[in-house]
Amino acid sequence: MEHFQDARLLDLFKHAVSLPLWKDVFSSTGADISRHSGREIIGLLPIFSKKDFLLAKQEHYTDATLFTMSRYDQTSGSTGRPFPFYHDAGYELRSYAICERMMRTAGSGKRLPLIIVRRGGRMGFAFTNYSFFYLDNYNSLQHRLSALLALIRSKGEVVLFMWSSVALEFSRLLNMSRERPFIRGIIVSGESLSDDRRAQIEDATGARVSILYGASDMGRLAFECEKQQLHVNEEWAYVEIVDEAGNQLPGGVEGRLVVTLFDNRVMPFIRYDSGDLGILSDKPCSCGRTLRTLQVRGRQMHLLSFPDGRTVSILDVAGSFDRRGNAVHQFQIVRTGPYALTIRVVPNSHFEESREELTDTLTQLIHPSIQIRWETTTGIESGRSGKAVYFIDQTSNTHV
Amino acid sequence: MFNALRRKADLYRFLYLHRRKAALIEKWQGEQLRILMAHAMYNVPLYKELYLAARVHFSDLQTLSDIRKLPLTHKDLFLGRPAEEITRGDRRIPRKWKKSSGSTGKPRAALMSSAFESNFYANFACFRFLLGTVITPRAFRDIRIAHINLQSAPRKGHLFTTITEFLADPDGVLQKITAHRPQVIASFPSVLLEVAKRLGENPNLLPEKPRYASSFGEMLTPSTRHEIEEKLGCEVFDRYGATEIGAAASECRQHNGMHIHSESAIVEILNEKNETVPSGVRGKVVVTDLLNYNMPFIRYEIGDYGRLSYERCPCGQETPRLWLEGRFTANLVFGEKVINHIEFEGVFDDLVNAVLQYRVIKVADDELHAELIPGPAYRSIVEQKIIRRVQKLIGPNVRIRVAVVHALPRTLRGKSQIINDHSLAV
Repeated sequence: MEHFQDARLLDLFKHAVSLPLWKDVFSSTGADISRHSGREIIGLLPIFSKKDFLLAKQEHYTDATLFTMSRYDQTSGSTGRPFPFYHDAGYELRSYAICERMMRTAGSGKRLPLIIVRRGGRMGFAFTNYSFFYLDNYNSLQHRLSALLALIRSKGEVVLFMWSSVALEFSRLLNMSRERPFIRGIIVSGESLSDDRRAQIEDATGARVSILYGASDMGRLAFECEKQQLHVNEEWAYVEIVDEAGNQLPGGVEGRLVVTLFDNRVMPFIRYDSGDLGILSDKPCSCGRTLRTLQVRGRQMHLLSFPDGRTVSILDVAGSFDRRGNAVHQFQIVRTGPYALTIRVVPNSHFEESREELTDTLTQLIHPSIQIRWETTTGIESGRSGKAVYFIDQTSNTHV
Repeated sequence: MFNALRRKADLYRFLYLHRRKAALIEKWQGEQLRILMAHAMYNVPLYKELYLAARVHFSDLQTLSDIRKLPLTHKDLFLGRPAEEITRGDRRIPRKWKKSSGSTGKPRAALMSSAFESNFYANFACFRFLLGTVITPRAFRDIRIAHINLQSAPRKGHLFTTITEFLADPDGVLQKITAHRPQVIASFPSVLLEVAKRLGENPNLLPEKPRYASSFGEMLTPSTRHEIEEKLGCEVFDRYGATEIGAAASECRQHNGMHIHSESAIVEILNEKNETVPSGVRGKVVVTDLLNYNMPFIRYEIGDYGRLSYERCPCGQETPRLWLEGRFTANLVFGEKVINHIEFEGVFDDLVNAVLQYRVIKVADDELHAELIPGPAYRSIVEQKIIRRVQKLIGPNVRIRVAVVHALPRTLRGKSQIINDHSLAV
């Protein structure tokens, strides 16, 4: 695996140096592709965050000749910073193989039909034998439950893929309806899942829950095995845990989770800061897989509950900002009262013209009675751990 | 590519439908209603709830007249509900909320039909009186139109000016319109009347007159029509629409009632017991939008009153004609500033959940009161917001007081009068 990763890294670097930004980085750090191995070079390069990309000119870190073959997307991930990026066609193709492995694991060794329950389809997740079930937000599930159950019944036994918060709501609704559809496994993603919530979902659905760790900009980085260990997809990305200075940390020590993606040529991600904290371990897993294991402190699941009983997932709220990078550089949502939010933003050039539309979108999503106050600022501080804090609940003293 | 072809095909279908026999139009509308109801039952929780309670199913709709089996809907049913309960949940839709407080003084927000995203259809729906002169979809898309409206909505071939801009500098706006050389000028009757007045004083402000004027949003009285036609030297076509349903009826060259847009609207006139009234009898207007699958409005009480005639029009179209009653025009004058009621509506448009209903009262030349029924999202900050916005409209020398009330008086027609001038009574 190390040989394989070395070769893939060198291959990536050879392409990356043709782009002005990476050419400058390589020459300023003395990294020489002809003399050093891929892993040696990685150690010389600085950490790149979303902010670094946003400050640079797009033409300096993207390969315009590959745009026609690529896919454009935006995400704010767990950092509250909307970020535009490109993925190329090769990236998607390799992703299918990794996803098939995860689906087989989630189906306890069988490749069962997959139902993706989400707002938007994601390329690269399933190539064959899958269905897409549209779900606008967390609250929509209660209205679409019968349609989802009908789809599950039509497939026989299935594996579901959904956000962690949606899976939790699904289990609550199943308990109320007393239905027990044939679901072998549920792959959850997007938010961390505590043990008690996992147990709640497994009890209600009778399915085994497995976690997928990834993000739309970084792809699927790790998947959970039968022994509930997150295994890194080593043939997909080179994953490191580093300290604040960018030095690699030994196994078992928590630090910033940094990734280098092997298959993205149109916009190479090299030593890219995921915004999450993690611990890597190369101790063998009892499942028999030799892939390293990872523990991640990523985006927490948080639900906004209102006195009238309505509940909204903070993931849906954050998602409203994802495609508004030209309006908002960074955001932080602060709940100041039962029906009051203050949204702190580092504004971008189109903020003023988008403010009203954003207010409408958030009001319709969160609660018709919500009062939204906008506060513009020049910067949003990180939490004590150095991780971005994009949600603060002052009514319950929660920071996410 | 596929969408463009589909839109073109739709437009030709609609053009054809408009000219068919009344019985065929009814048959088509009955089928479309059944499809829309099935969609609403399965994908829009509000309708699922309503139809379950009323024990109706889309299979109960055999003919168009079966529409009476469906329960009525109204603004209050939609207000205060989260988006996922009143919009379709089976597909991603563009959530561009259109807001208005309308003629009833009740702020509300709606998602329009996807059909209005197309320039073809938007022009066809709003300016179908051009059917005699414009025959191809491309020509429909490329008509040059000058709008004076509450908000700007840039589109190819359209010049948008806000009413506030026009009232502040009418000559400057007319110069802009002259440069645009529009075939159609579109605005509220009261604004078109202001344009006519300016041209009466100085005809050279608009040397090349548009061929048509399109009026909407308020009652167009015969005297207003005459004044506009005389001063602008053009033919005035009135149309009927609302924020929720878009354009629903338009005049033909006979100018005798507005033809219902058969491809998009089913209009019913009901009495106070919610029974259908005979042709020509006045009642409340209830509309079903056949094209809006994003946020369906089925048997929706729009808050207007009117009458409907099924008699054949000399123009040849067999679609029913609507005469509207109850929409009004009002201005308040403070010194040299004339504020149109539409501008006051703009103040309250985005306070959908904070203000349930309002009215403004000019108490004296230097004092204005706003009375409002608060909604669930009302906070003291809303009051300051209203004062700030109204102050911006009428100037700093007028005292503004906002009062929260539990009910607002109604006119004899049953509508609330949002603009009131009590200073005249003193």
